[in-house]
Amino acid sequence: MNKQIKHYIALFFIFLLLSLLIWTNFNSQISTLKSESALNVLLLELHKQDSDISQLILKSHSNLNSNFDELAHAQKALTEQIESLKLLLNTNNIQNINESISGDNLYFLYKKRLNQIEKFKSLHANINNSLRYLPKLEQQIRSQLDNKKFSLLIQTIDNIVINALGLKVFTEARIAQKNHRILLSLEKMTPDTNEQSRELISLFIWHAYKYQDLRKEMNLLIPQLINNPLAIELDKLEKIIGKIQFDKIYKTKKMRFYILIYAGLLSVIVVAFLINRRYLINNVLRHKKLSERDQLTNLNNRRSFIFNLELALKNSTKNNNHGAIIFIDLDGFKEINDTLGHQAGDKVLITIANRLTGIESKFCKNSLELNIARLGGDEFVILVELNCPDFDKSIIEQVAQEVVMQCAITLPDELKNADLSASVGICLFPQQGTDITLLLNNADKAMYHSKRKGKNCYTFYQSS
Amino acid sequence: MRILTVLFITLSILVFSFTHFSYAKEPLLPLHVTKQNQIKVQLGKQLFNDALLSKNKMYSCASCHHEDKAYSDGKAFSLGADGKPLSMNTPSLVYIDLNYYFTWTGKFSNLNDHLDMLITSPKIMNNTWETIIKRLSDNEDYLRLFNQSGYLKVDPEAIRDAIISFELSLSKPSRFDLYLHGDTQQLTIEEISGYQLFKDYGCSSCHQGMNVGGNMRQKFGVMRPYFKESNIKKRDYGYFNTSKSETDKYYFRVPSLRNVSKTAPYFHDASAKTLKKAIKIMFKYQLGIFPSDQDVENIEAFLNSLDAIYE
Repeated sequence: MNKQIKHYIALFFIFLLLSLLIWTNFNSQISTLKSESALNVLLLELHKQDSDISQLILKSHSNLNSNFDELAHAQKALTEQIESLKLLLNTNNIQNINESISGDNLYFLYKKRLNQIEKFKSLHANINNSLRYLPKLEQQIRSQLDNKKFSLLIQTIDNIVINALGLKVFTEARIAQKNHRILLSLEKMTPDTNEQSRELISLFIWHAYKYQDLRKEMNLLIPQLINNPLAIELDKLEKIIGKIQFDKIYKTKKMRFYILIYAGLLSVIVVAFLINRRYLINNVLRHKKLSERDQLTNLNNRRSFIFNLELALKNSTKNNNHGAIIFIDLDGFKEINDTLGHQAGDKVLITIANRLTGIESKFCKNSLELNIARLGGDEFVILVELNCPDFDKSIIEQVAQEVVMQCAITLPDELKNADLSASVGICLFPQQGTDITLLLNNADKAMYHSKRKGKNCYTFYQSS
Repeated sequence: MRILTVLFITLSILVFSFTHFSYAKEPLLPLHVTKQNQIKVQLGKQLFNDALLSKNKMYSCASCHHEDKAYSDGKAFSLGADGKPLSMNTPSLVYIDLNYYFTWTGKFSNLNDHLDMLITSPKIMNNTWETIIKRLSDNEDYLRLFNQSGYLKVDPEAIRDAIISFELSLSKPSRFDLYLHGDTQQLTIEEISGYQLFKDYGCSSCHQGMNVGGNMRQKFGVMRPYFKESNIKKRDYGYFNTSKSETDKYYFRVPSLRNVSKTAPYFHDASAKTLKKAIKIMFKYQLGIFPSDQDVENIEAFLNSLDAIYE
């Protein structure tokens, strides 16, 4: 089948599934669930408002806020939200499903909380007034009385004021008891003073008792305000509504169908992607291989040889390794080409290439790596890498000897009369150069030296 | 780099703490005026002054809320629809938008509900919404005005909205607001010392916020009982009449002190004829303090500075 037709069929399938998905989306009850999310949002807002109120109460309690405007605003907002929640609960008919949620309990708790807040506001104002007035009275009494004569009395009054201010801190019950004892003793101390100061002291005692009563009431109120049942009820409501909504989603058939289609579409897309990926990887690998090989002899070509040589040079500088380039030029190849034709020449090249790969498999060891390439025409090259730090020239010599020998073996069949041999030039690296062109050049020079020597032999490059 | 981080952290802590310091602010806040739609206000004003709203066409809202008395009645008790005096003193309407709840006991937290009650109560307007809508629909002028104000039809919501818009448009800043905004020349020495006394003696514990009251309830007679057992009336029970909870006995909404000099007589039962007497009662029963005459005079001077400025 044509490739393009395959593509079109796959696209068509995906399109079909997509349209099915959209259709089921419209058909399912997802949109109705969206309208219910308004309830969830409202519950969240209520929660936030409630905790805001707690925060504002604590702020007022610690006198960070000197007026109740913010608190009143928050109360107003809470009222509005509770009203709209009640409305939503009635319209959604959730009570029919679950009897335990009706707005009534919530409304009752909300009313209770509002009442507590109102109590808090009035109590807080009264307590603040007492706290303000008690030190003032103390000053008035001090100015009336003789400092030395009534030092005990003044000290007691001082103590009471300090304790009253200290009641704001934690150990309230203990201080309150202590205060009560001091007040009782203060009442007994009054007789020797004059009329006016006695009046003032009795006023002071009266105010202090009043303050203690208010404090007691406040101490009962604050814990009630902080662990409020409204938040707990809201939590409960949220949980129940969440469960109902989950059940609704889970129990509808259309929803299940929708999920099934959705999962199917996803898996098809994923599979298509994986197949395509594999195909692309294979393609790339094949092209890479082709670009590195010589088409005729299936040896490495010039490009990959240079790449390998670069790597080998880098390795040698890094690991302190040694290596050599063995440059091979066939003698008498031109005559074969001219007399017997190009086909015969190609055959010769293939034969030589096969023999050279034979050498590679013969010499390849852990410490020695051969890399054979055809540079072009009748020029071959072998890259020898020694993977041990100590340099052994004899191994390279052995390789070169083998190359010369293999090339000199008589060619098979109709080519047996042809005269073929190899001239080999060897250049060592890194001793005789670390540059690619220089190395190749040197090897070439050594090869010409062999030719001049009478061919069918190998020569090491000498710099002189 | 490390120095920069330390600097950043200290700076952010400083900024954070400053934002928290700003919470320790004055108990009284300057007025913040919200703008109203003028066409609606005009319609609301006309409705406010129109006797159509009552059943016998004898009373309008303005019968008991006089403009020159800061929209309160000068009398101790206004006359109701049945010709008998109402049970409580008529409160002022100005700055109503700043109140958290309404009426003397604060039983309404919503102006719409409150207006509903006023219209339908047999003691006040003694009317029904149907008759009002019928009367208004027969009037060409009103139909045109309602259209202009953007109401699609004449219904209770539209009428309430118009009247409330008018009521909300009444708020005007006072000299004290200008003082709080930083214009210290606005108040005299007596008035400033009055304000200081107002805060020192603890009046500002209840009369606080932007409206100088109106956002909480307080017991009438914190320090000693105000009402005599023998002569107690149903109205004196305060919020108890609505909530039926024993703890709410004698609890009343703290009224706003803005425009207080114009709204005599004072208290829900109009028991104080003058402002001075009202201040003294507050001192005696709410704070348990017997102030000097000079203090009372100064506080009265300060309260006078809360009057709105009318051009």
